[in-house]
Amino acid sequence: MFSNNEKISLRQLQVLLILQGLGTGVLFLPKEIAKAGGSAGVLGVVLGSLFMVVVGMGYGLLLKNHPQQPLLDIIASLWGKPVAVVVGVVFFLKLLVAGAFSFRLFCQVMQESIFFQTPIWMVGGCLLLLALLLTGKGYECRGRLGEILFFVAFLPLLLTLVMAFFGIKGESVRGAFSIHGTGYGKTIGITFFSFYGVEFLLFAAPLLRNPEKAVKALGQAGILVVLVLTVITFLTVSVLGISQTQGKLFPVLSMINTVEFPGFFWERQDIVMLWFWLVSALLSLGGTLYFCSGIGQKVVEKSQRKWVVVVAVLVLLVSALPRDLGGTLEGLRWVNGYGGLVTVVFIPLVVFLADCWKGRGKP
Amino acid sequence: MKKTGTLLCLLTLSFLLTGCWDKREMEDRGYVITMGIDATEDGTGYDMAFGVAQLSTLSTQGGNSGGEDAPPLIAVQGKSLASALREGNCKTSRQLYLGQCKTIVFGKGLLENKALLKGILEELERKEEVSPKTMVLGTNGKAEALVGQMLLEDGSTGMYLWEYYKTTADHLAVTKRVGLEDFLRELAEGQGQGILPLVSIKEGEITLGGGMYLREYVLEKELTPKEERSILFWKGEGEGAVLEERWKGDTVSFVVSNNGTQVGFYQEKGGIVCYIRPVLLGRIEGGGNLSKSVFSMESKQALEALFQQKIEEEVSEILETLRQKGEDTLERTYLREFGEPVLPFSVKVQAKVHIEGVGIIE
Repeated sequence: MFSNNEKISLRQLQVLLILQGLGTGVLFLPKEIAKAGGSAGVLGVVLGSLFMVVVGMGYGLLLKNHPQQPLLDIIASLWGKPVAVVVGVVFFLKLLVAGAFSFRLFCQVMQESIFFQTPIWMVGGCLLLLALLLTGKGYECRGRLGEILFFVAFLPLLLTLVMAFFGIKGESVRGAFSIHGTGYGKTIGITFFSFYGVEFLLFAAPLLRNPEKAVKALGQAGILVVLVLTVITFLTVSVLGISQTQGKLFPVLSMINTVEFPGFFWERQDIVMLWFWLVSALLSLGGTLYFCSGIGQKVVEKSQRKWVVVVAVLVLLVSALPRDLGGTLEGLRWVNGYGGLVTVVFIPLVVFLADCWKGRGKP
Repeated sequence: MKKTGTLLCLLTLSFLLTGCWDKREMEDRGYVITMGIDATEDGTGYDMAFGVAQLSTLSTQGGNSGGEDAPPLIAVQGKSLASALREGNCKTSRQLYLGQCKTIVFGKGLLENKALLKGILEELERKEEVSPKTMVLGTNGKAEALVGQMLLEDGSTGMYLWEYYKTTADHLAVTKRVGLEDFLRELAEGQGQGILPLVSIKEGEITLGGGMYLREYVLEKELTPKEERSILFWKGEGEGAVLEERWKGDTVSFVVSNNGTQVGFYQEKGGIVCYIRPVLLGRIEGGGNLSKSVFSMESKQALEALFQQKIEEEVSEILETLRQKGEDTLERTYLREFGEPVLPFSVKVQAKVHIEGVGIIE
């Protein structure tokens, strides 16, 4: 009754994109932006995320043109299997390392903000077990779970953000939306590469019910992500100010904690954000396990179930590499920046152009 | 069978995810509601006073007998908040918890000691338990004495100061509620400049009004309630203020119901001018012999001009005083709008008063 041949609807795709895309970025982007662009950073976030919407819509075109072929199949048909294998390895490594670092970041932030005494392996182990369970149930289960969790995680966050507007002081609004400043390029770049899991779209074609309508759906989801990211960065910079945003470890959590609900005695509004991030981390980790195992299966041709276990072990091992939170953030920044340049921009662009050149795709 | 196993597994996970390593029972905690922080006599550490909520008193009032509470006031010394808390925990069976702390009062001694003030602010900012919304105040005496006095006023919840600000002070314009995060932001952006609301003990009673102006993290000037009010007019936060003037032999009160302020710059022959335009809406209050003469169009205009002049004088005066002491908010506004270099400018205050809500008889 609940199954629909392992395919997800475009609405579910939108929800997954929003929850994954906002995950890590939502927590760390304002700090990075304030450091790189100062008060001009908010504009950088708008432009950077709009660029990502354009790229996402470009992926939508690929999905439309090749409704049954994931990226590696398109590459194999263009240049042969060996090239597809090499590209598969590149994507596997990038998604695995970025996924593992995001996972470590999640565990570390949870430990430093709410689970002070709970061992980090317990927090991480629970999340990994849930993600494994989710992956084992297939992609459709992930889509349906995302659809349910969207309402219980995203809407409370939106309500809290609305309340945060009341904490803004007049003069700080002008400061937060300044157009005088440098670092636009850097802030655009940081924003553009802060979205996790956009590459999943390149492998999602056979999993979609109506891939021909994906361009519009991805555009709509992207616009919502742009709005939320902009609002969160704007609020953080306005409520805390530039120097406080630069200096705090988790400025978004501090900003959320300044929210006052009338009649509430609840002091930890950051729980709303952490809950949202928990949902996002679960779906992102599930996505990493699912797509990395899928790529592994294409490259080495073992069963996907075996690959899921291998990827889970690799995620655990790679996540243990960074020494601390700073090292994890630095590593994630590096992988998202340099790795993203290859997997988010370069490879999809080359494939798209070659596809159009051979007359199989419609620009 | 498989489904039952999965269900059991999920249930087990849900218990684990409650963070049982971090659990603390409510009744094991001593909830610090008000904290007083001061410098020790030799200026090398902190005198701290923790005002703890007396929950058993509350429950007894409600008809139930509660357990024993921590002592209402725990006074300790320490080189940091962490060591003072440890010291405080040695004096009570309940673990002192800052997660519900509503008010922090900084003593004059601390406000005069830059290193100690910066140290404690950093520690408060980093401490996860302390809410960024915690209200901060300055006092011109010892912080411990103030917390003690406050506990005499309200010994059960210890929320006297917080409730005063929440329900009254925000609407009076004699002082303004400042949250910890707001204060940290003000200090960070002004390189150590900021104003703390002032709370003091006068003739055995807690009095609120005025402020403590800090420059480079050191107390520079104690502001009177009138000076604090002028600053609020300048910042557009003077709602609730009451101004009084003599007019035609009577005392006329102007109650501000709304206040906004525009700040900007323009070029004129003599150079750059920074304009500050407080716009105030309010009503004239008076009765008896006064009412007939006040409630006419001519009188309204005359009174508006009278209060405009008063506000302009007040704001100009406080601006001059503070700018002489190095206050540079206007320079930072210029920098934000036009970038460097900040050229010299003169300041012009042009208030606009609108008297509304009076019945015009003539």
